[in-house]
Amino acid sequence: MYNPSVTERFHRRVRDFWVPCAVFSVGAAVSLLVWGLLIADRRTELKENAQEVASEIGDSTAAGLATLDHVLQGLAGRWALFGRRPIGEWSAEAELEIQTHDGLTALGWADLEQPGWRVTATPGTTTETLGISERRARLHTNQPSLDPTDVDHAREPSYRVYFPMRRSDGAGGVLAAEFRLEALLESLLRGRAWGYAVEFSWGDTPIFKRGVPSTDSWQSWWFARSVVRLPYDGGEWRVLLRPTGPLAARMLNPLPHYLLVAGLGLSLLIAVLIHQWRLKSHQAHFLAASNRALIGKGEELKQLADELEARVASRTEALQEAVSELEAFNYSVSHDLRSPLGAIANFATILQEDFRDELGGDGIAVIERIRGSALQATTLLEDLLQLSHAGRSAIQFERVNVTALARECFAQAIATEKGADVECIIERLPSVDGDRTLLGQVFANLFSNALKYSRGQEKRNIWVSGRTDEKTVIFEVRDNGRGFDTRFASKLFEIFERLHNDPEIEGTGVGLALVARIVKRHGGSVWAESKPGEGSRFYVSLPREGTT
Amino acid sequence: MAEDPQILFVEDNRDELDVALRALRRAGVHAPLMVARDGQEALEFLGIEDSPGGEVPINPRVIFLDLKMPRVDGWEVLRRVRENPDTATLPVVILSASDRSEDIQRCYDLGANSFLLKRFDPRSPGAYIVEAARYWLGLNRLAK
Repeated sequence: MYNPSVTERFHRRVRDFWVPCAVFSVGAAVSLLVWGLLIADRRTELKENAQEVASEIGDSTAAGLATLDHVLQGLAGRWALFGRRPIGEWSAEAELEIQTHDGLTALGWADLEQPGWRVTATPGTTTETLGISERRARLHTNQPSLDPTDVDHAREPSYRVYFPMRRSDGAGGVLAAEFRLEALLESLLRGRAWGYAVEFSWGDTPIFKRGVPSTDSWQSWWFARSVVRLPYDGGEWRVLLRPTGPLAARMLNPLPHYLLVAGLGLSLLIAVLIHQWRLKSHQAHFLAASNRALIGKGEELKQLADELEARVASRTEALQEAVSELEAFNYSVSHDLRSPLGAIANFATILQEDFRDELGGDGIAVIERIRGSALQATTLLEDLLQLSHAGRSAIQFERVNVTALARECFAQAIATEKGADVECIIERLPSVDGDRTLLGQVFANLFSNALKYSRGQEKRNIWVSGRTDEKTVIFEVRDNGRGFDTRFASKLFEIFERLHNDPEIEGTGVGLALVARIVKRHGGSVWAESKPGEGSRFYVSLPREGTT
Repeated sequence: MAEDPQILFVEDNRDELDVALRALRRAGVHAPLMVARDGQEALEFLGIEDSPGGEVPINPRVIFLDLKMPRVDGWEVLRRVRENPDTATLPVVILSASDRSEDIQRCYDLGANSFLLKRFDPRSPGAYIVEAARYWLGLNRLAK
């Protein structure tokens, strides 16, 4: 398995993050830059426009005031030229001027030689409501002046001018004019300063306000201003311009903000995508590395498996060779032993037959023992050969009629048995698939056993029965012999094990081992039940598959 | 040769041979008998192979043939006997210590008439050989 170290992981983490971070930073910087440029551009535009408007307002206001000054000068000039005219004439002239000029609400004369105050007011106003008084007019006989104190806050803010007049004969007077500021300035601003909140102030005193500046602080923190120099007293009005909401909204639309947000979002998105992509590519890389490692391991394993297989094959071959060598050895030893053992038995018998007189009783007995031993050895040899054969020969499966086979085997077993006091009941047995010869050896040995161990009973009984289970066929061979101690049941089927030490009962200890080996090779099992003195039951179970 | 031998006994083992000959003698089978000590000798006696002494080939009524012998074994003798038209119909009884089914089957496949397993006969040593000899000699006489 591919297993990266801690430092490698750290490096990979750094590598995973620095590129997207850089991408995001660059994107954000570009967005901010564009945003700043756009904002600055709009701001500059707005400011320039505002300044322009402010200057224009200033200029036009100044021009308007100059016009009024001109009117007053004209009136004063005529007064100097014509002197005392009937008051009605002045009134008519004054009315004409008042009607002509917006904001001019009243005109008045004070003749300093001929006391008497003459005032003309715009229609709808009365001299009482106007603040022009003779007493004040008389204070301004030397030069034209504005009287800031005349601004009456209780009423609509007004603008008053006292203009000294002098006749050729030296007689003097004062011309007073009152302007209603709002009306005056409204007329001066007419058609101008759209979108701006305009504020006029005289010193610190606000004298006129129009429009509401945008409440959005970031839109209205700046302002444009201009100064209107007044024609009298060297005083001045200050004009202040702030954008109103609609103008600010139009000029400073939120597009840059949207662009900024969009730019930041896009940068973030791209950074995330890049991160994901890199992560994936790293994962793919990692997977590929793991894969390679796995494939390497797999090949290693395969190689190991191949080696193992080869080793197993060679061992198996060696083992098979050894087995067949052993088999050949066994066969030839058994075969070669068979002949001399047969010869010993034969010649011992010949001695007994041909030299009976010479040998005498004792000699014959000795020869008999020689012959018995040789025969016993021969039997053992035969049994061993059978056992070896049962263990190694291939099983020739065929359909076996077990009932017939058991009868046949019993017939053979009883043929060599002394005494005919045997009753054998062989029930109808299920047929099986198996090796007929080998199964015959099973029954032969079971019968031989049953006969051997029931000797001495008054009446010997052997029952053979069979039953079919779900998966197995079970045969039972029961006798009424002496039985055995169940504690040693497991030893029964071991080679050379004999539970009885009775010399009367012949046997090599191979028979049941042979039975067990044959049954085992058929995929079945054997077991036995007994109680001493109550006979034995031997069971053989074979796989049912292929049985009826 | 005074009498044409009726039994050809092919056996390399001295003990087996002695037991068999004694049994035949004791049982009163006095048919003229010839012994070959291996397969090569048997083939020479039968004239299937040239005999170095130039004897006339014999024509027995039955052949008792051992399988495991030096030089030429029993199966080879059996095969050659059956191949040769002069001896093809001779009764051949195999006497062997082997009870391997493949050995037995091979004998019958080659044309053996009988297969006897060498064993201890509880009646008397070699009694089964006597039985076989009587049977084949008698059968042969009937046929003639």
